[in-house]
Amino acid sequence: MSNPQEIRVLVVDDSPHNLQGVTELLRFQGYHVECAHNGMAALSAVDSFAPDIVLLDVVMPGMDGLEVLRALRGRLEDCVVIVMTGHESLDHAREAMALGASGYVGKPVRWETLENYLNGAIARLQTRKQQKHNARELNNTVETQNQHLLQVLEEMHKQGERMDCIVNGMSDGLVALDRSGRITMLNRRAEDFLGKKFSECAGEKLCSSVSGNVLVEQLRELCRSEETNRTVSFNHEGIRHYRIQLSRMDARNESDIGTVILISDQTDRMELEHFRGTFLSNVAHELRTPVNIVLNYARVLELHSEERTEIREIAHDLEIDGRRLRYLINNFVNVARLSEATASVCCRPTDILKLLRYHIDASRERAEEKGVVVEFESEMESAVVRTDPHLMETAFSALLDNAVRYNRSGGTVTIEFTCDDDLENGWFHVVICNQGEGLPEELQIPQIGRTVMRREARGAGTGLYLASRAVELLGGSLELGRDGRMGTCVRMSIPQHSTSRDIGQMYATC
Amino acid sequence: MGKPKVLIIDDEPLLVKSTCMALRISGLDARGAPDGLSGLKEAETWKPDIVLLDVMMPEMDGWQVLEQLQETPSLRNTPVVMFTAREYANGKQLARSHGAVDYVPKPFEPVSLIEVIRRYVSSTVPNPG
Repeated sequence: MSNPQEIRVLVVDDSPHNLQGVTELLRFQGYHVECAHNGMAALSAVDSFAPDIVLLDVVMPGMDGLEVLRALRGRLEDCVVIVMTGHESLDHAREAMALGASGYVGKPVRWETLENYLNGAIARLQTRKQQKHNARELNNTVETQNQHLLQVLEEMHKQGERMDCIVNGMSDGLVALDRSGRITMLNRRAEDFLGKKFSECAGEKLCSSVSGNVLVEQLRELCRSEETNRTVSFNHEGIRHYRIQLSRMDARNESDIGTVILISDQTDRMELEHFRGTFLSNVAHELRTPVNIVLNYARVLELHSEERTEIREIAHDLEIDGRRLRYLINNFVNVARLSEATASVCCRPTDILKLLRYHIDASRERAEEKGVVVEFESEMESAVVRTDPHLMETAFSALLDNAVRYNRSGGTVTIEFTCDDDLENGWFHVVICNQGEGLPEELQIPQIGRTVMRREARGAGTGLYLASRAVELLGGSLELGRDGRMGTCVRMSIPQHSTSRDIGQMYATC
Repeated sequence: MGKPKVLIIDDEPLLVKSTCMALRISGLDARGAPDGLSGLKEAETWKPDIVLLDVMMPEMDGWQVLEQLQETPSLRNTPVVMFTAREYANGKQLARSHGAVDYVPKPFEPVSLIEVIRRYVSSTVPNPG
C-alpha cells in the first residue's frame, strides 16, 4: 500500500475551488482520487468508490461533514476520515474526532501538512489491515484447532465406549483402586461378584468396607498385604472356586490407579480338571488290569513251559511287552497328571538320598540286562529335605530310566548328588550322565516333551518332560549339558525347602 | 508247615484267576474272592496268612473291607496288602494309615508280589526267582 496509486482518496468539499485544488494536488502526487461536492454525493461515493481515505469538509450546506460522519458510523473500519476545517470551526473538528474522524487539517490545505496526515492514515490503514488479517488467521487457526479437538474428543469418546464395552463384557471381575485404596472402578462382573453397584461404593475404601460377601472379605485380606503381585485361589463352601489376582501399579506410574484386581470364577475349569482327573483314573484302571493279567499269565506260562523252548520264549515275549505296556501307561498317566495346571505339590520331610538310592538300585536291574554299569557314590549318609517325594520319584525314575534305556551297550551311567550347606535356603543337585548317542544339539528344556520324540529307540519321549515338569513344580530347574562328551548329562537343581501347592482345594489330592 | 495261604479279593475275575494261578505255580496256596462280602466270609473260614485287597470295588470298597477285617478279632493280625490300579500320589502311606501293611500298584509282576508277601508272612514262602 506504500504506492500512492493503490490508495483511493475521496475528497468532499462544497467549495469547487477547494475541491479542485486538493484533488489536483493529490492526483499530482499519484493518488487515485474521486471527489464529491456535497454530503449526499459523498455517501454514495463511499459506497461506489470504496475509498481508503476520505478528506471531508465539515462546513457544507445541506448535509454537513458531521452528518456524513454520523451516516458513515459503523462503516469506518475500512477507511480513514480526515476532516478539513478552518480556524473558525475547531469545535466542529473536535466533534468530528469524537464521531470517528482520525484527524483534521486546517484550511487552506497545504501539501506539507496533508502529506503527514496521509502518511499517518496510510500507516493506520495498514495496521488495521494487518490486524484484520491476523484476526482472520487466528480465527482460522482456532477453528481448525477446534475441529481437531472435536475429532480427538469424539475419538476419545469412542475409545472410552470401546473400553467400557470390553471391560464390562469381560467374564472376569475388574476392580481398580486409587493409591489410597479407594474404589475407582468396578466392571459389571465385579459388581456381580461383590454384590454392589459401583455407584454405591465409588470412592469407598475397600479395606474398610464392611460386608458379608466372601469375596469382599478375601479382597480385604489381600489388600492388607504389601506384595506387588499376589494371586490367591480359594473355594467358597465347596461350590464356587475363585481366583483373585492383585497387581499394584508402579509408584513411578503417573496414573492415579494404585491397584488393579482381577477376580475370576474358576469353578467350570476346576470341574473340567476334576472330570479329566476322574477320566484319567478310570482309563488307567481299565488299562492296568489287563496288563496285570498278561503279566500273571506270562509267569504261569513260563513256569509251566518246562523244557519246551517255544513256550518259554512266548512267555518271555509276553512279559517284555507287558512291562513295556505298564511303562507306557504309567508314563501316560504321569504326563497327564503333571501337565494339569492344578497339579498339586505335597511337600514333607523326605530323605532324598534314600529315595535316590532306591531308584538307582531299581535301575541297576534293567542296566544289567543291557550290560550298562550304574555308578553312584556319595559321602553323605542321608539328606532330609522338604519336598514332594512323589514328584521326586517321578523325576528320578524317568531320568534314570532314560539314562539306562538310551545308553550304549556296555556304557556307564554316573550319578552325582550334592547338597548346599545352607539348610534354609540351599538347594540340592542331582546330575545324571550317560554315554548314549545324546539328545539333538538344538534341544532346549522348554521344548522338552513337545518336540522330543525318540525315533531310533522305542519310547514316547516323555521322560524328560516328566522330569522337567516335576522339577518345575518344585521350584527347581533342569539343565541339559553335553560337556563335549558323548552322551547326555541332566542336572536337576531343587530347593531344599519346596512349597506345597494345592490349587484344587476342592479336590485335594495331597 | 503248610504252604502260605494268600487270599485275593478283587472284582476282576480274570485278575483273581491269573494271580491265583501265578501264586500257586510258585508254591503258594491262593484263593480268590470277587467282592468284599464274600472275601470277608472266605477270610473268616479259611484263615489266610495274608490278604491281597483291591481298593476299587463296587458296593464295598477295599477300605471298608479293611475296616471289617480289623474289627474281626480272629483276622485283626492278618497282614493286608492293598493293591490298586488307581492313582494315589502317596499310596503306601495312605494304605498304612488305614492299617494295611503295604501297597502294591497295578500292574504288578507276580515275582514282585511274591517278594512283598515274603516280607509279611513268617511261614516259608518259596523264593520267587
